[in-house]
Amino acid sequence: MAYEIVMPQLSDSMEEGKLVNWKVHPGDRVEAGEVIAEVESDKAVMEVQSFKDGVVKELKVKEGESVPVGTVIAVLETPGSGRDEEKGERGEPKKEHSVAESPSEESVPTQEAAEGSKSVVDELFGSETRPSGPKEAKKSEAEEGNGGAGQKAAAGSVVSGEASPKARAVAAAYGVDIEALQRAGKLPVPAHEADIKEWYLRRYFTPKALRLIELYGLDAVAFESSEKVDEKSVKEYIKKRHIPLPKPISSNRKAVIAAVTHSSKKPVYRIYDTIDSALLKRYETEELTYTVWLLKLFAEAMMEHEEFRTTLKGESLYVWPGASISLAMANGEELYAPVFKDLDTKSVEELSSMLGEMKGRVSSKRLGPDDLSGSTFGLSNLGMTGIERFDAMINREDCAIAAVGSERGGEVAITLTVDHRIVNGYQAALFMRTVKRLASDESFFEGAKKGGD
Amino acid sequence: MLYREALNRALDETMEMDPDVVVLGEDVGLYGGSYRVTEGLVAKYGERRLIDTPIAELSIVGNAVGMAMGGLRPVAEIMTANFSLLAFDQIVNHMSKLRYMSAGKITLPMVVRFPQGVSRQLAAQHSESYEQMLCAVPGLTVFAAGDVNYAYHALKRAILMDDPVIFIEHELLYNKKGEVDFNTELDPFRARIVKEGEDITIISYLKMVDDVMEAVPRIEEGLGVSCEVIDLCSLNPIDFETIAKSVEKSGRVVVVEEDHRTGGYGSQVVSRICEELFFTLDAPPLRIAGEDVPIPYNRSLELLSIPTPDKIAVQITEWGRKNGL
Repeated sequence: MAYEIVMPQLSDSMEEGKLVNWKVHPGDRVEAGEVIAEVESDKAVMEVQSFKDGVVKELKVKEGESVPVGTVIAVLETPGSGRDEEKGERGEPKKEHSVAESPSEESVPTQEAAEGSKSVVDELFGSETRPSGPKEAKKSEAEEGNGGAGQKAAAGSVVSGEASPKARAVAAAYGVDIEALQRAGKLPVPAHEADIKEWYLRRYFTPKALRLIELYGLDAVAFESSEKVDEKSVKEYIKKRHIPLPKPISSNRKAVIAAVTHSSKKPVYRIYDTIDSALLKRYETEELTYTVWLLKLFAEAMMEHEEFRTTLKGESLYVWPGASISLAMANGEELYAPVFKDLDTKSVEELSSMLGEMKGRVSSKRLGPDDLSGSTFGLSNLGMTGIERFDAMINREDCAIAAVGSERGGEVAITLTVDHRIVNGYQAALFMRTVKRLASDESFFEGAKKGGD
Repeated sequence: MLYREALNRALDETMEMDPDVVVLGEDVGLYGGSYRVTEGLVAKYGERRLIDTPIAELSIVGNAVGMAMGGLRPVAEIMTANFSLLAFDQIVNHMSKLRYMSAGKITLPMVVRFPQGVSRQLAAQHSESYEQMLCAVPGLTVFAAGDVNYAYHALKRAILMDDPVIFIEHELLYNKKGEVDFNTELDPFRARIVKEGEDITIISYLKMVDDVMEAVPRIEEGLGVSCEVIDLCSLNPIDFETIAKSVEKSGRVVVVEEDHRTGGYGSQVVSRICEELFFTLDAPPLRIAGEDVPIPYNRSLELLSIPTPDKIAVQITEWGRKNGL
């Protein structure tokens, strides 16, 4: 099917363009986006791309020749269906509908139309008004009118062509000549806002530049429209204007924001201490990791100190029978604190497989409400990152959280952040003493391997 | 809670709150109202506050005007909108204007309730809608309750307001179910965004809101777009701010009304959109309205004469296809 390429309007004021040189010859195969010619406008020499795949059938303008904007400069033979052809077709757009509506007669009348339309268009551009003709008239009116130009200038900002009011407003802002483009078959009749924007963006921006513009939520009008905008110039623009990359807040992030905001209102204090790491290191295996042992260690201590199995709700404190711990687990940008329940009754082997299974569910985001509630104490281990010591924020309704740093000089730094409404400093100090004792108690480690009671 | 129960509750609460609130109309007392809106109230508040009137609409509204001038808060009920034509002298010359004519010395804290619209085979003399005439009378506030929650809150506010209110109800909505949020105050002058969307703004009121909502999934599927549905709620004054915000976003607007097309209230809405939002429009506005015929008795013809979910879906889809969607 024939697809006609016309002299593009490369700037607001461009009326005609000189064909500097052809990059293709008749018979050449071209792809959409491929540069087929160089054209000189009133401002600069620019490249003309093909918007379709096809084979060059005819070059209608000689090198060095100047033709008005909208004149057919080349004809491509494109593979497409009848429907594609309708869009690429030139001539009177209203007639195209009747052509498209009778697909059975497709081949014969469309070829006729293609040939017939050439003369119609040539006539339009040749003898009657050129696309920017009316614009010129308005400009001179405004220049002459001066004082009284206010109204005329406002009217002049409305572009001509059959289009919705919104499309006209957008075209005026973008400097798009609807009428000329419609004559050239580049815009549908009537034109809508989306048509103008799409044409404008495809005309003046490379696909990569467009992706950036969308990503950063930039306004395309902000770019100088007389030159083709590429990715590099958008990047420069972003850097120059200090434009941050907007990032939508994920539902996980929203939940974390709500949770830490809630947590930050708790009356907390902190206890800083270290535990001996010799036994932890000795009993650490591929299966029984530091985290597994730490979970077991704190669970054991929780069983000796019921304050750490306590939550506060309304007017009452609730002491829970088992040791359930929420563990901070990250999956890329997402943060979860799934709960490991009743760890006092679990062996470290069981705990290890629980942990492995939970890791799988965190990475596949398959956590149910039951996985995210029911704890009284939290654990956050960043030891593997080499960080020495840090503070953690208490999860949900927990009474405290232990932040575990990396192992240094036979010791591991622990920061206990405690909700003072539930646990007082003396109780927390005793809890910490128990943790330290268990960490250097070999019988605890041996017992834990056998399983809980 | 049903729509009629929400209205009943609004009446009950305001009557309990303020002993000056009285209800008058045909069959509002012993019979409980022809749509059961005043059911049970006569037993609670007695015949002096629920007044059964003769079949004489001019006197119902006339008496209400007099009561309001004398310091009461009357709520008059017109059994069906067509009958209100007999009372139009009182509504247009007195109810709407006495505050102006007395330089503000007289206030009229009164409400006239207007059940209206095409019900089921009540024929041409019992099926009409008069919002177009009522909104053309300066001095009247016109509410149109298309939603149960709105019905409760807006009627309460209407009764407690010191200026005259026409409160339009639709006869097919009385058994509509809905939730009432008793804890959140509602501004009855604000339009209600029934559904948020991006590409088409559909403006409606009263029962047509439900018909639009029924049509919307088909429209969205057919065109691959999303629709924003607005229930105007207050017809005069109109909440143009909400309309403008939506139309500026979508660029495409449809107004759906049950009333006859010519001179219908929707023409005013479209007119104002064209005047004030012209350059935000990406398509000619579409009006979907009733035919310019007296409402037929025959059920098939009756349905042919007014918009239905089917017609709404088909017309909006065709219009969208023709206009770049």
